[in-house]
Amino acid sequence: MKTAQKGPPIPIFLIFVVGIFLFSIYYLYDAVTAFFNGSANASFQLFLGLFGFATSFLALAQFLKRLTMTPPPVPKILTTVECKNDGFKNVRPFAKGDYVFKTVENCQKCNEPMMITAIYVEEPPKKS
Amino acid sequence: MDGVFANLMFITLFSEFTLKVQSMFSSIFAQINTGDPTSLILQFFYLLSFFLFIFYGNRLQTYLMLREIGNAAGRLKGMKDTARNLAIATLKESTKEAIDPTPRIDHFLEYFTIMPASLDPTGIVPKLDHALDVRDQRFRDEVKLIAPTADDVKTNDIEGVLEVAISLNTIYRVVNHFYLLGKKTMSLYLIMQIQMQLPMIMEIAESYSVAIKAFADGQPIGDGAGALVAAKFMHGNETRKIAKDVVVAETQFEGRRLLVLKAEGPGSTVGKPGEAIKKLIDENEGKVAAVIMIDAAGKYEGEKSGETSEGTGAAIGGIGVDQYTIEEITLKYKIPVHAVIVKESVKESVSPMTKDIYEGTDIAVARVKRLIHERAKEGDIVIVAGIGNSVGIGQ
Repeated sequence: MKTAQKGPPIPIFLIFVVGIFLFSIYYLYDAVTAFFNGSANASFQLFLGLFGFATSFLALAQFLKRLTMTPPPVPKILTTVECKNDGFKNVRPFAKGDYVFKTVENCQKCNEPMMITAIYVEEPPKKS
Repeated sequence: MDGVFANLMFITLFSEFTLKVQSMFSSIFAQINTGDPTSLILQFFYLLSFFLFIFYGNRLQTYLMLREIGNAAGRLKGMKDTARNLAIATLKESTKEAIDPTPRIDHFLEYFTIMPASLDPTGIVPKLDHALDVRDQRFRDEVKLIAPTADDVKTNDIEGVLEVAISLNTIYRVVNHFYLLGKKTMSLYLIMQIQMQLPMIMEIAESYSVAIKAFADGQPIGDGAGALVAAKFMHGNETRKIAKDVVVAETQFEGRRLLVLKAEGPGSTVGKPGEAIKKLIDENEGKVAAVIMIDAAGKYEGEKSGETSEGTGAAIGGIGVDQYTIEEITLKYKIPVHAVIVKESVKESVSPMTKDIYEGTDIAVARVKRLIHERAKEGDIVIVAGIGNSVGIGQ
């Protein structure tokens, strides 16, 4: 089965973007000298330099973002175990075989069997 | 009159365009004469980009879209491969036999169901029901064949894992098909169709890839909110099997007789609640004051997950067979059907249950109690049906 192809290798892309970046700096320098010499080309060169600078900067920023991108965190599942006898509550990480209303280990306080009352994902801390 | 106006407009625009091109060329020639190469190169590139965008603008857009679809197809391939490997690992873990389940799983990943012909829709529901029954049985047989030593709960969980792996495989195949077809035809409109839907497709695929782990480990998912509400009513009471993968328990609330049903947990199944409600109503000769259905339902963007709301009608998703059965039987005996929903996103419905949704089930329990109090008198029979996948939820 044919599948989706990958994009161009990273070094070629980098060389290309860095090349544009250097050219745009050259054009910006050229624009400044042209302006002081009174040449009519200053605006063209400024436009080209700024355009090249903006595109290469954006491409580089995106590339760096992709490099530093971390995979989404694996959700942490919690199991709440409660003792119906004395109300003792314990929240621990989910273990394979846990299910809601399963009778599990004995209570630390009264030694009566406890029950799983909830299994849910631990929410990541919200950004303020 | 319109024709004359259009002609005048065309002539004006054409003359303006000619003048513009003429001035461009005269400026270029002037620059050649003055011997300014930088300006000449700039003008050349300016003109080139101008014509390039006029004639190849669409093609450029097509390439950008194709690249986006190609990247998405690559990510989907990764997701479906992970799902396949997890399905194989789960099956290997569940069987003590030394048979490699890989070839069977690979065959099964492309399993499909042909829906009945709807040209003449009369009597289509029983046909649909039959097709789904055959499909479910085939799934169960397949799992039993690969993992004969697995118990019922594990068998249901493996079925859930396989269902998700098949869904991810299908999503990948469809997106890849459009990607390759788009590449072959370079048709912008063909590519646009899939590109516009990509954010939704990727969201569903990402939630499936999280869900598969939940099914393999037997963790409750968002869709199980309804089942959890019912479980909170029926816990501690004796249960009996009423329909395929559905259990019912009898309990009392403020003098009302409650018949509470849910899919049999803690394995992954939704059962056949439609058939169960029909049987319960028939058993009680239609003397049921109300049917209260609790289900997880899609929320709108901006709404909070875990919020609850009430309504009328059969709160049940799926292909429509169960909804039809419930509507038919409640209409026959003129029984009111009330619905309580727990709001969540599509992604949350197949991902491990969040704390908001879990807390929402407590609110739903309170709303159901209020409904029973208001809609039934002492001594009345009320059916409380918790709809949804019962993975990780006992009774």
